[in-house]
Amino acid sequence: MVNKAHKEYQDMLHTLHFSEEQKARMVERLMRTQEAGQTTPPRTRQVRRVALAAAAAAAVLAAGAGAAYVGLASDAFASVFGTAHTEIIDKIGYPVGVSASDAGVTITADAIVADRSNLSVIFTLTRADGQPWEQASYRFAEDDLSRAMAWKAGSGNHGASWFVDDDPQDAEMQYIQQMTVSNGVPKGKITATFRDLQIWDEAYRKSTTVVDGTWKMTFDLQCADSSVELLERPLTVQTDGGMARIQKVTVSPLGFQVAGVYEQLNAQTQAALQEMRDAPGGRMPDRNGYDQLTSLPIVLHLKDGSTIDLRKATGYSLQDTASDHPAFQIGDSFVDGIIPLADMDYMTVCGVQLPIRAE
Amino acid sequence: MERFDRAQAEYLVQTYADLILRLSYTYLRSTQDAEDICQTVFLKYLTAAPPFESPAHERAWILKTAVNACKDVLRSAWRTRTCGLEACGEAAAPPMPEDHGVLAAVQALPELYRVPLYLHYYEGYTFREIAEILNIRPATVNSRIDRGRRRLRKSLGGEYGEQGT
Repeated sequence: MVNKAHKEYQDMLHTLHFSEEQKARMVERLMRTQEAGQTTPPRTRQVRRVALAAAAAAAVLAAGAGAAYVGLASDAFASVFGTAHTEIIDKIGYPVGVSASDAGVTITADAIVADRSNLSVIFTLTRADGQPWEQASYRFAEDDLSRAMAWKAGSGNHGASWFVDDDPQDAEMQYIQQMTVSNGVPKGKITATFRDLQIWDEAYRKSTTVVDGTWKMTFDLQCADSSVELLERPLTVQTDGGMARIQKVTVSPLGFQVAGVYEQLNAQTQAALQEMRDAPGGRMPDRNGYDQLTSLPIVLHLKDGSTIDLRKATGYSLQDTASDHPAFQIGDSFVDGIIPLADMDYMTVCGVQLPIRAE
Repeated sequence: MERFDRAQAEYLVQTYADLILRLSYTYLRSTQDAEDICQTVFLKYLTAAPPFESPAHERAWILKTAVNACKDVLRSAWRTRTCGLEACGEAAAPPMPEDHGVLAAVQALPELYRVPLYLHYYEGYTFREIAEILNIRPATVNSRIDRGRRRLRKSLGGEYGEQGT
């Protein structure tokens, strides 16, 4: 940077500072947090050494031939979850270290983190030629992990997947699959198959294959459930859909789930559901009865005073929608990634406050 | 949780709050989350920081932890802050600097380039030190700063000349 530009840059950034009042408020906030007894990760060096040995053993057991990644789940997920909650990630996650190679690219399943219903798997794609990946929006022409999960669990699932390239200069990028499984994450072996790596055009209308290959790998699902149940007994609430009996509310560092059944539907919802049944094939009517059944106000309150509106959760499943008593399950992974149970204060479901006690 | 006293909290805030604010502004292009990032970093320091060999070592640790906190904010989409009306009035973010000229040009760069440029040209870190803070290779720092400078020369043009440093 030339001298004039350098000086101007420095002078302008010099003007950015907190006021003394803001600094005093920050000190008070730190002292209040201490008084509230908010826990933070303890010194982890010793725990890391133990976890490394355990993780290495788990990787040998789980990976079989072709194991490549033997490290901590928290290191594998650093680009996704950050480094603030490594102890939790290493408790509920484990390294996998299974690879498949084709067409000059090796895909390695690095690690999994999961609870009863939510699962994240991180893969690394490595170019054999050592060249960096083009900065673009990628997809796989076929990624059947979600389908394989649905088959194994006997239920649907929903979630998201995305690519991350933390260091565009090297030959690696990561691919993350995050999903919430309605019947719960099953245990045992599962096979993920990826085919043809593609790049989207700017409008996300058309994708072009850049690596013509097939990668297939099998690994173990072994979730350590870190969920806590918040309900001591079923709860009857009024929702947009009618009167519902909430039977289960669970939360874990990865996500949440609320399940129940409708005892009575209101007239508006009954009409909307009937309209959906009567609608010509391929056309969604104006009123979406499913939204009325599953749009429950659910808010997670954290000890630092912030809140997370879970009504925007994208995942739900419904059963018996043709009857007068449809059952529902609403749940999702937290977009933030990991939220320690110790940071959570309570959850409100349809206005009812449910305390969260970290175990 | 290890307990800390007010003097320790005050030391941290007075010594590092503005540093974290500038880093947050560079990373997030806004000062809105800077206080929360300070809180995260300072709590981690007060309860779980390793022993430091020197003030420089401590400062680098603060920056590294703040970088990770900024990345967590970038990944966050749902979190909102709710507070009473009076408290909300007190929680206004620091005003952002006037964003024109060189600062605007740097802030317009992708995060990959503007963060190493900030650490080098404002905080004065070497490429090796920046590599340690950002957890990337020194060669990567070199190429990102070089590419960032070239983009700046192009966007700033004749007013600031063509010579590089």
